[in-house]
Amino acid sequence: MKMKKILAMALASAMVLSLGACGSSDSGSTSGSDSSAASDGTEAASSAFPGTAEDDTYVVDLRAEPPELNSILTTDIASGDILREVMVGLYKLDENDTPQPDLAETTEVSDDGRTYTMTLRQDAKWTNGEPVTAHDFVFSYQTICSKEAASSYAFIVYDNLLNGNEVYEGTMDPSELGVKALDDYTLEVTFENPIPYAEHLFSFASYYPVNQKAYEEIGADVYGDDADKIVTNGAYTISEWTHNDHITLTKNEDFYDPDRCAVGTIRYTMMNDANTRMNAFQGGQVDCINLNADQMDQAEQLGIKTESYVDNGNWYIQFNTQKTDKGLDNANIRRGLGMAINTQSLCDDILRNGSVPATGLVPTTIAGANGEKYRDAVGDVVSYNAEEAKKYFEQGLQETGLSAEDLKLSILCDDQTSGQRDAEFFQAQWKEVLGIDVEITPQPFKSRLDSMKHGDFDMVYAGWSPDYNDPMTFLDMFTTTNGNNYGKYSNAEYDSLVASALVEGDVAARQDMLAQAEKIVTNDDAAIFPLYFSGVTYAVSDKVQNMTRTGFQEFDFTDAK
Amino acid sequence: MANQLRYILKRIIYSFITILVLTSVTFLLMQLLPGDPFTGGKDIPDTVMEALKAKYGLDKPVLQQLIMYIGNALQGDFGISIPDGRAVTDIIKDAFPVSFDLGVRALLFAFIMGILLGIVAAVKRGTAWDSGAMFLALVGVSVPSFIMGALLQYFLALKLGQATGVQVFSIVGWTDWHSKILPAFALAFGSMATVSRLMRTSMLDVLSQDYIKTAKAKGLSQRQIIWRHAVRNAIMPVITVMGPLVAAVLTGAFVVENIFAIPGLGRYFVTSVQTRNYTLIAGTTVFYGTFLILANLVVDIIYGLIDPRIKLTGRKE
Repeated sequence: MKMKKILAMALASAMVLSLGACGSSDSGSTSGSDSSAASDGTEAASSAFPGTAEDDTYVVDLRAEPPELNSILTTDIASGDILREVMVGLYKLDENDTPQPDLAETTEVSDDGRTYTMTLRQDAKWTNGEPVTAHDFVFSYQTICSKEAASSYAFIVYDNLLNGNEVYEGTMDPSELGVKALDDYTLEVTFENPIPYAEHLFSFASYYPVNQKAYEEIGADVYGDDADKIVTNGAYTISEWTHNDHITLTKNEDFYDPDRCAVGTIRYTMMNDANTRMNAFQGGQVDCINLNADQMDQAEQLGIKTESYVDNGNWYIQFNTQKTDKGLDNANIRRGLGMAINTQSLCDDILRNGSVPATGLVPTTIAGANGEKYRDAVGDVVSYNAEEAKKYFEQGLQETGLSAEDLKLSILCDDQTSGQRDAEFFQAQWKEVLGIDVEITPQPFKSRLDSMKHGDFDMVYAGWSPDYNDPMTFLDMFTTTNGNNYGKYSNAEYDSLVASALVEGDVAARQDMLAQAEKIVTNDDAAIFPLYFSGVTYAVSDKVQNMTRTGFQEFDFTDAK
Repeated sequence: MANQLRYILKRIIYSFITILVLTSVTFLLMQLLPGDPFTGGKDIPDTVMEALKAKYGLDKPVLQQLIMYIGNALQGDFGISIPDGRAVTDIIKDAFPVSFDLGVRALLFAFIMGILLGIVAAVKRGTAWDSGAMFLALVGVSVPSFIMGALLQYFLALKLGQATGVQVFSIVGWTDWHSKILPAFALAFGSMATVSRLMRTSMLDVLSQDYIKTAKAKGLSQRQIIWRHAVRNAIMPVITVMGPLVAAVLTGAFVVENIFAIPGLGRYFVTSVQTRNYTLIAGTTVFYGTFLILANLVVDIIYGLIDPRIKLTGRKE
């Protein structure tokens, strides 16, 4: 009995302790920052978070280890962040995601829009002392288009370059691939079809050059695994890499354009925990961290400077059109389900990270024809409307002869807090607007993808981020034969529009086709119902200047001057 | 002595068999998880998928993979991590020393503090010392290391640093003593509580024995009685829990490593399962398994050394 009492007391005090921690986290920190501000005198507003103490150094949180710095194999965002600072390609994205010539001094495009002939600048050097030449590109592209390299992003090269598929399958010699070194500093790249976004591809990691000598000396298996196992040609070099802890980049003094570096040293940390990041930021141990929805109030109270951007991702509900017994083969039911979700409230009250309601499948950041953003050019195709949603839903039920009780729908989502939180919001909206009960099926990320692959779902809350800066990367996903079309949607008109757009040389006509396809898949058929274009909100200290964070460049510190 | 050696040899053989079974079961079970290392948000074309599977040997039947894996493992090759291509042995070589350092510090702390607290509580039974020590122990048992870690980080690293302007404890990292105290303490706290409670009970038991009365009657001082006679006998049950405690500290390390952003093996262990990184799952599981089995073996041997009455050969498994 006595033991129980003590235990209860201890538990209670432990709870009080932890409550105390939560409660005082706000008030305590405010006073802390106030006092430091006061001691600095009048500049109260800007001195609360001056940043890390080291000179000429930014400490930036990357959250996790970059898994693959070998540009031939890399597919992920974090590795792309590092490669962007340490490598230069033919083109480079500026702070607005617009490609600008970098290694390519002059570019000539053939009349059919398929052949790019570029002269390369001659003062670029690899960190092993070798000059950067056209042969480095030929080597890189031929390697990525080989099965031995086993690059999971190989298709972004072999699907585009002339004879790419044949070379990959081994039915043609690698020398037949659409990339030629006409001389040491003249490169000719030939595509299978005219590609309006070719310059953007040239700025992408898979299209970076690789120094053959270094690659073979270090060995393909371990290339890019450690700081001393990679040879780079960019504005920064990797000076230190402690796995799962930090990676340090130092300004490359031999680089032909040292002025573009924002700072002498960048240290990327890898803090996995959101609270840890926040503590480290407040304690002046890191200059830039991403924030989650739960941290927005705290950041505001502490007076932390926050910024946000749309990261190009689109999150949507994908319907399994094979589920006829649940009415999901009916476009009106699907449209009703989609339109019932108040996406403005979702962004403002739930997500709170800079996300904006989706107005189509292609996010606002994606480039369109003739210098205009695609979204601005073609206008909105989807929106929230509770009244309409109810109307379509009822109409769909009549068409299928089902009753609302028959549906027994479920929504598949990620098992992380945010995935379930959002799904609960949808659940409540469906109950409120359509009066139906929808079950939530949370699964770990890989399990969710596996369920999607096997068509083992009614509706799934999923997202997509673009591979390149063109609407096609969103719109070719749902053609009948596409591997990402998990809902087994099929519409001949949509398929043919996408197929025609693939070979169309006229950018305006191509954009019209894509816009029609987008309207069919999201609005007319509602096989996919876009919810929001995802955003990222981050905290940044006063010290950081010339940092680029955009949809295609999570981090870039080479846009100075 | 010969008996002891024979016993140890036998234990090593048993351990080896256990590890073999552990490897096989892990290897087969992990392939039953939904998804594979290459499952991602984007569909990978079949032809690329074939190339990927061929590269990592995943195109072969599972049993053949297992046999190849065990064959390679016996030669010290645990394969390469998917998809980053680093050798699993390199990852363990890099990350384990950090976890080990943290674990050893935590264990030392847990044992020294736990034993001292237990002794004090038993000797000063019924006093404020006793209640204080046991209250601390109860808090330790009830507050999990992730809360303890978060509290310590927030108050002692962040707030104390902000209030005094002197950063005694680092918020994150694993570099110098500034950064090593709080994580070790957070990890040790629970184990310290277990040890102190066990030690107290055991001490009370020993102190009521006849030979303690005899020692008192002989006129030995209180200090001699406690340190020479009581503690040495009372410590036995504490040694027994050392094996399980090593396990608890090792598995608990992930959470603490996460909070203090320490580049240890725990993060690899957990994320490897999430990412279906087959080679790393198998590698870390076999490694941790081997380590725990060895730790238990060492504890048993120490047991025999401290109490010669215990015949290692005679013990039942």
